[in-house]
Amino acid sequence: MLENILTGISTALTFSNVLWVAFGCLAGTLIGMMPGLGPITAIALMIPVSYSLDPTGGLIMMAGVYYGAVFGGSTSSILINAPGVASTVATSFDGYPMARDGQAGKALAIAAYASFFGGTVGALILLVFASSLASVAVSIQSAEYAALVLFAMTCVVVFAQKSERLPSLITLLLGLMLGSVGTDQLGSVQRFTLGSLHLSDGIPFVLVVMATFALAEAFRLAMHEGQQPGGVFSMRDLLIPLTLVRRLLPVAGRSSVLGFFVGVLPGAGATLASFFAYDMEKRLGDGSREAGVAAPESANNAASTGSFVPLLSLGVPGSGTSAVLLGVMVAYGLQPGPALVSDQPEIFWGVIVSMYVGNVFLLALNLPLIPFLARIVSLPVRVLVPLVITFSLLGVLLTTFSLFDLGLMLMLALAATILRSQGFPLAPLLLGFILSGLFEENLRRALLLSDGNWTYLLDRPVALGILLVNIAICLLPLWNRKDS
Amino acid sequence: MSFHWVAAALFSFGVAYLVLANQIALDPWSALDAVNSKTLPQIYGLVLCAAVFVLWLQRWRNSTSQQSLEDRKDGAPPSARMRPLMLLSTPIVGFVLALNWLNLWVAVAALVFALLWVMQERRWPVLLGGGFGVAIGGFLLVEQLLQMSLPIS
Repeated sequence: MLENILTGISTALTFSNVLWVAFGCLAGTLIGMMPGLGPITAIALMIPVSYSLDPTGGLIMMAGVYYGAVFGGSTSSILINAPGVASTVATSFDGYPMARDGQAGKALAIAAYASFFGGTVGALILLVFASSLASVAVSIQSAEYAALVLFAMTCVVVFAQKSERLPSLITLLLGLMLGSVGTDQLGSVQRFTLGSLHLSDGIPFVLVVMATFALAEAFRLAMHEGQQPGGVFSMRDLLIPLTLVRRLLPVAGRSSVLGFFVGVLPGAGATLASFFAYDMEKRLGDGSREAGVAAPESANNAASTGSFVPLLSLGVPGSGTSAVLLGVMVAYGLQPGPALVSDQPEIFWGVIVSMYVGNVFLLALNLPLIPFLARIVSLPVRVLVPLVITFSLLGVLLTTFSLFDLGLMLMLALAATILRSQGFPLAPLLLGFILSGLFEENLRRALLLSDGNWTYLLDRPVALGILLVNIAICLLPLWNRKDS
Repeated sequence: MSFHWVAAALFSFGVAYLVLANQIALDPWSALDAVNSKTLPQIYGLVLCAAVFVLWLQRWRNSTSQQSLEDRKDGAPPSARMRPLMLLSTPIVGFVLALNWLNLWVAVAALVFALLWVMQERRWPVLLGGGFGVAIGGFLLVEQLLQMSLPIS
């Protein structure tokens, strides 16, 4: 264990990797601060840069981008009430009113400290539990993988707001359908390609990410009037009194632990964690606005770390962002899972230690820059939208080099914009797209092993356990209805 | 676009997907598998059609449809809200077509310029600075710093 941690430290603290994590944090913060652009977009935009690095350096930079973007999202959430990502929505509940009351600096500082605290707690828990989780993961085979992926998809639908469950199911199915385009890996059959060679390898995930998040968000911004930021920023606002620190420490502590374990659940992730933490503080805590900012911020950062557990040790993405990261790892030729821990410990532990290094850099670099960085979000929509569209198109072009893909991206973005305007959440679509191949491949492989016998799934205790939890989760809304 | 049109489009998509799923050619061995290349797509298509129908039914029952709620919230008719989409799509389509015969970075400069113009930006320093700035920055980052070549097809 100690040896592994030392391996991680020696990997993460090389000069070049420290430089890349710092660059990632800064780039992630800048991108995440743009209204509508969250960690998924930030990571997708940085993919071309990461391809020029070795896998360790690339993943370490991506960890920095991830944290930077989560923090950057909180900034636009607090300043202009425009959460870049769902996990920072809860932050805007109390953060934006604080900014409106001239306490923008204080709210941003609390968010920064709470994020750091949450990330630290998350990284510590991950350091302690990662190897044990990885050893448990060895027993995971096709049947368990299929059950786990089904569990992640169930969580996405069941844990959505009541009014969004059916729309979530629909967009999840659309994602699964898009993921089924191309050559079937097991049957070597062309599916839904309409005879086009461009589609024979399937739809690139960068294209789907850019179309449904970056481009669709730019279109949405263009369709609505942009909001102007409020508040004045000064360095003095970044110092928070000791009494407030003492009051917020327990809030951040319990929110971080809650956030980490919710983040480990595939499909639940940072959004659910931030809402849980906010709700817990409002119900059980002192209910202050400062606690209302600290709780979701520490929870979503700890959950971001937690979502790396299923990704690194099982190869199952726990959220849309970690699904994109999974794609990045696959592009590097890495297969996250138990094999990654044993065969390439420098990558596994390097990424884990980098998460903490990323947190330190995030605080050290971004805190003094808050007053200046915040001005970026005040870019008028008429300038922001063209830049987002151009960067999205370039992001896809630089990874696929295909004009057909640009056309397909535009069509998907228009469809996504219309779906979103009708209240359909787009995160399940992305999750469905990424999990589509994983689910089908593992389900079919499990059934091939059992000669088509479905009861094979029930003979394996872990798979059975996951399926039972799945059923229980499906019944949860019924129980809640009865309770209410 | 009203919810009913969106629901109709989704339902049609589900039906078309189902038709294509049924047309997937299987070899005799795969056809006997418990889950073959067709099975899951058929399930996805069927569940999508069913889910869209249930959602449409739910919203139809509600006296205030999603469409009217959206309209009231934004204070603009749907056609007016869709106009920016059309306007923004035009330079993008032009960019994709122009890449067949224009240099990438020249096309990027033109794209940024056109998008800024569409978004009602009329200050020439911003229009020119934005266009050329992104193109030159992109060229330096991609082709000089990262040494990436772009064999666009």
